[in-house]
Amino acid sequence: MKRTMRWILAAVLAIGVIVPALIQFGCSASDKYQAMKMEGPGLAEHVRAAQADLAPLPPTPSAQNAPPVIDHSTELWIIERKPDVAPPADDKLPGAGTLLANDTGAEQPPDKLIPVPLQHTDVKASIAGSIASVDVTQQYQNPFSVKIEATYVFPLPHDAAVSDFIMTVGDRKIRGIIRERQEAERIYREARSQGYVASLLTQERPNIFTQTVGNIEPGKRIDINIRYFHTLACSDGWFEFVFPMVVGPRFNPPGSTAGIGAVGRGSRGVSGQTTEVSYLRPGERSGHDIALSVDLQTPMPIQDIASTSHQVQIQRSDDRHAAITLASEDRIPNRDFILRYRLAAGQMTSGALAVREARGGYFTMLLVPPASITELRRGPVEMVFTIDTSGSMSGRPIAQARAAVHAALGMMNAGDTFQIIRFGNQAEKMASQPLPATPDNIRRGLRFVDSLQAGGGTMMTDGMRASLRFPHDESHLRYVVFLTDGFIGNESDVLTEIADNLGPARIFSFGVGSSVNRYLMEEMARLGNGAAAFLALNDDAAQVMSTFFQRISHPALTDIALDPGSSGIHDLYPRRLPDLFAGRAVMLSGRFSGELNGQIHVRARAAGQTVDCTVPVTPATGPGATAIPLVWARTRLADLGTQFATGHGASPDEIRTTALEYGLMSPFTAFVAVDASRRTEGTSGISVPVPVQIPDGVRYDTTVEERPNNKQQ
Amino acid sequence: MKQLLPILLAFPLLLLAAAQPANLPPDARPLPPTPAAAQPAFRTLRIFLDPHGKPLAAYQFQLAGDPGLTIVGIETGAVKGFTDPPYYDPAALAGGRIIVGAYSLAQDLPATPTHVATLHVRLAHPDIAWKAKLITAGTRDGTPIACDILISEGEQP
Repeated sequence: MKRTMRWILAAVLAIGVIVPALIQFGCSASDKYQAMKMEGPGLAEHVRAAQADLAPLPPTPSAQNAPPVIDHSTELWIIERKPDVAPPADDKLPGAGTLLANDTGAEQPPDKLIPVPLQHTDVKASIAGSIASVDVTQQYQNPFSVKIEATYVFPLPHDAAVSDFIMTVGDRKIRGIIRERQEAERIYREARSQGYVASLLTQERPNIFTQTVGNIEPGKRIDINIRYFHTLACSDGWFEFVFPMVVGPRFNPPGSTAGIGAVGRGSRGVSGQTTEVSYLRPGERSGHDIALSVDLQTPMPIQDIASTSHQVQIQRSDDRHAAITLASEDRIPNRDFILRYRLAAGQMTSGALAVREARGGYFTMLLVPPASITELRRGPVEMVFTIDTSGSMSGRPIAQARAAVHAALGMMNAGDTFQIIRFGNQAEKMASQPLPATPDNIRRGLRFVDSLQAGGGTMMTDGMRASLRFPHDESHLRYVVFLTDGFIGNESDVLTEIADNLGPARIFSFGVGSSVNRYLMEEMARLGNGAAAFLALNDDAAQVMSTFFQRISHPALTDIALDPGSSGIHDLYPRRLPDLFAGRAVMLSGRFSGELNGQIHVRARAAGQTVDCTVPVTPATGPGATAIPLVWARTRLADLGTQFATGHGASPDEIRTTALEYGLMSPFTAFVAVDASRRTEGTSGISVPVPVQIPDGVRYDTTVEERPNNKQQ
Repeated sequence: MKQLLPILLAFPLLLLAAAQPANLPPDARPLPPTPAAAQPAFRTLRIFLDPHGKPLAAYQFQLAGDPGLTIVGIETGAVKGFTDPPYYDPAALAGGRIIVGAYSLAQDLPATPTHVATLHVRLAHPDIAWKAKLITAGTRDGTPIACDILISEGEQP
């Protein structure tokens, strides 16, 4: 039995490492190439028999070209109108949405069903401890009469380590290969132009991906399966699993072309950005729906479990296992799926999982601040509330932001000071300098907040600059509370502003809305030595702010360092270890070359005092053992990515090398899969974007660009 | 009956209309045609293993060719017990080597000559040769198997 297990383990490890290094058995054929060897008649006969099984391929219709629609663009979030974007010369097709069915009640106009080549997304997540392994299957089917290429821009968690990619054609599964991005794109184009079914997965942002599937014949279905790992966020005893379902409409500053455009269905190319998300208009619905299930297994009994975003069915087979399924009536992919659970063992405790493989040792550590820091009190603070009042915040998001600042102003201490800044097309301060938190000033602040209306662009860099660049009162800790949905395409500009001008401030980012840009929120907080929090449209804003004030009412745990001892810990990420706030745990990932001996010593400082703690280490088994090196590599890629984006070191080569070695997606790598077994008929197809729902609570008319004459299509 | 006739006649037409493909969306855009210039070729290479009567539970092999040989997909062959497509070693691939492997926990395993995998490859030029080298193979209990390995090029599509 032991030997059997050893073999299975070795076989599993063969995925990523060389088997002979692990198992010492030989093989008579192992030392010589045998490609041309045809010794065994059985083998040769089998080859011939297999070849005889090949059947002629059925003919397929050839591609059709259709007459052009050519017009010019306007945009909605206009600060400065950019030059008209002329559609490409080959944009030669008529607009023709098709009314297929009605499905709403009598009170409202019926939704217009729009045929799209993405029919269904199926998500199966498995959570063991604090690591989630997620399988996402996108089912593409061509509803048109010509061969198509489908392009779908979709979100994944910003820390997802995307490690597997499988294309299913009929009942055949073809594993995609990680490649340097430009090479993958070239291979895809070559295969597509020769008529092969092919697919390409690229990363546009850490949380935005583009899936392209080429040569889908009329009526045919192709599935794309993506697998990723990530660690769960945890705070105040709650673990949180998030699956984003739609990319929010992003604003791009004038002159930018490398952003994420947001265009209405039928207005392709109007944004002028390299990546575009196409949105269905109000009153339109595609047949694309989503199914989601989570298999949750915990080391200790589960006390509470709930989704704060969706209706779910929860089945508990025992106290450490739960199966969660998205309810059938809640399957429109228009907001983040959020599942929270907490364990019955009381306070969350620090812990680490470790695994050793051929490349060395890897670990992930959940570091929970010791309860002792809650005995210490903070000093006075200079609170800067910065509120995004751009068009994408109009409606319920700005109402939530106002409610949050309302609540926060009521929680300030007498010795504190505060400032309120709004930004849309430009930034505007409530007062020339921070005001003492007197009752009169608080009332003034409330009036300013009440007056805020959303509209216009999202010049977030201006907002961040106004929040950081003003004289600092050294007697106060400066905390920037930044409330936004994060719907911008120039994240790197904002992050660079933080990296260059943070000064003595800490940034606490609050993502407001149903589908916020969590990547930006987390990175702002990480670079800003603060923490991210999220305020969904149905959350109690006062409660969220109360939790925040509890967090900052104690000094942070700073200068965290892991004692390498004999463990040989190295390559710890994030490279700059975050500060810890009461109730909020952080995840670290590192490597080791020596022996961990069941524990890792951690040293930190809080309010001038040294804090020591010991974190127990458990050997990882099962899927966790496979995931830990990938999680480490993904954390390293995130660190390198931010360094690169902010111009603070790291080269594309470093990112590319790590991503290729671990087989992971990155901005400079991509998955490509080609079915070289057959060619579809015709030499080209028609490219069709997959339009998606606008996120719940976001107004289409203030966020999405359209061609002027496109709205009636 | 006369009143029902138009409905009965219209019903098949409605069914027919419902079965029609949808019209192309306004965003549809023709893709560029295939260039006239010579392009790299895409081919399939089928990998066969003969475990000589032993139940094959795991294998690993290396595909060797010149740098113009690029792997663009991996598919399982006609082999019982191995349902998932074989894996590849990304670290080896980053170093220019193509190493492919698979394992099965099934009870019913192949013991005769078997098509274990199909590799989808891109050939930069038509003269590329390739070879397969078995690295290891074994039974469920870890006993090594002296397998023969063979590559057969798939039909040209």
